[in-house]
Amino acid sequence: METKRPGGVLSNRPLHFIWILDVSGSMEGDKIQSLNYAIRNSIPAMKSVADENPNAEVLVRCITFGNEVKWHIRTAVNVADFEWKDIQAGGMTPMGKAMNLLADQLKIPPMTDRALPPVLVLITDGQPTDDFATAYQNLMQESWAKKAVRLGIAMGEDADTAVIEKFIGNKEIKPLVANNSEQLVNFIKWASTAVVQAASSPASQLKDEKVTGNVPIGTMPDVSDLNQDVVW
Amino acid sequence: MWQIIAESVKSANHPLNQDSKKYFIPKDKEYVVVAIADGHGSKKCFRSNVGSEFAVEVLINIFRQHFSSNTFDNLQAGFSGIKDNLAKTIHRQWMEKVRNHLAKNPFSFEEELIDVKVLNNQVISYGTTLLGALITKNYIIYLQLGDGDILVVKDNEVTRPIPKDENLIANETYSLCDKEADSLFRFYYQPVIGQLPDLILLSTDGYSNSFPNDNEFQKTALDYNNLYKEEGMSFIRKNISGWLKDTTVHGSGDDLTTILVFKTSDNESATKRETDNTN
Repeated sequence: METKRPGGVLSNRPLHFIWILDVSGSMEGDKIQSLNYAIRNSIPAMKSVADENPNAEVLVRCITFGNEVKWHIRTAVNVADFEWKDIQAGGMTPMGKAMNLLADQLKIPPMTDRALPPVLVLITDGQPTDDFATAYQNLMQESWAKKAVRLGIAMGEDADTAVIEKFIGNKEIKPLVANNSEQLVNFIKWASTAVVQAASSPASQLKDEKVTGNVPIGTMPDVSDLNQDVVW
Repeated sequence: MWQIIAESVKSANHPLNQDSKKYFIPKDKEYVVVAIADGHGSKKCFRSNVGSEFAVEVLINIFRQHFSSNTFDNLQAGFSGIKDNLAKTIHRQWMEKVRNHLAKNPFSFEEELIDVKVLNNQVISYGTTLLGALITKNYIIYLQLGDGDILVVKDNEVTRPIPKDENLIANETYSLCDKEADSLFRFYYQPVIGQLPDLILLSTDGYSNSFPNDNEFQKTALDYNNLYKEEGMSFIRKNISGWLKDTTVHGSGDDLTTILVFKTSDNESATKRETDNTN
């Protein structure tokens, strides 16, 4: 006897993970190499976390801002198929334009109302050379930007942590300051595993209970056991 | 006149099912009341399974009382005035139940440590949504607070008496534990003109979140309706638990609860005795 399940095709829920990367001239050399290495290094663990959470479909994209603002990975790639292609550094730091590009993709559509809270990770070593404040305001008009888990990593002491704090918009989540390659690897791995894990199975929350996001992301990464050298 | 199936499956990701369901059909089958509630899964809402149980109990009792006193008859012009009082009554009675429960079951030491905000406003720990319907020969009242779905099938078309709330994304929802919850209820009063709907489906958000879009989800209602006509109630009853488990495993991974109210022909016996079933 036919026992076909009622309803159409089933689907797990999309979890958009977007890197927003500073590729300005000041990132040239060791910083950009470290960033390429750290992201590539994080992929296996990110895939493992995605495998452990079959009810979420982790989709990765990447924006870069430097000589130009563009999608380094334009089409959302299932993390199972995600491969990292190295980025090159050069140019200014048009972080505001990167926010505008991001905002366009967080509208409904192309986002759907059933997605899981996106994870947005901003990594920069400097300060915006364009109008970040207005662009950020526009970004935060989008419902999915407000509900996203927004994280920020500063590469070196010269990064404008006030801007990163603004992007995060949550007093409980501080910018992660990476002073060397080992710390960067650690932070990127945390963002792409522990945070993805938390965002994959969020519990229902009271509306507007928190100012930003609605995913408890747990303990921030501890770097006390890592190399403390200030390289950048 | 009606046949009902209520089913719920627990998510593999949750230690316990925080959804609740309840329905009532009187002996004379003059009307049906159905209710489901989805207790929030957040860490702060650690008593939401109790809160959702209270929610469905309160709604069933209130709708029964109002039906008995004919409150909702001939309301085409005046339901808006009544719905505010209805929302306030539901909210107040749910709060009373929660406070009584808290008085008899104060927070344990472990519960007190979970969150200081909850310690200061302990009702939060019982947070839940609520969906329900009072179905009579002359009118149907649909009610919703928070996320979840109500679908209606009539003449092979699916409609939503209460539209989806575009403000509720990213697992955020309105809740009975909100101090202003009575202002967040949504109602739809529908006088019955011609035939009653063939099927009314209520479900927690774990069901619709298991499909890539609303069209794929709405096929569930059409499929249940066709299965009812072609295979009968016992077939659905036998299989529904497996279907729901399959849905949550390959879909949202959430607790999943649904109530299906099928219209029967007049000579079919829907229920042989008074039923007050929480399953």
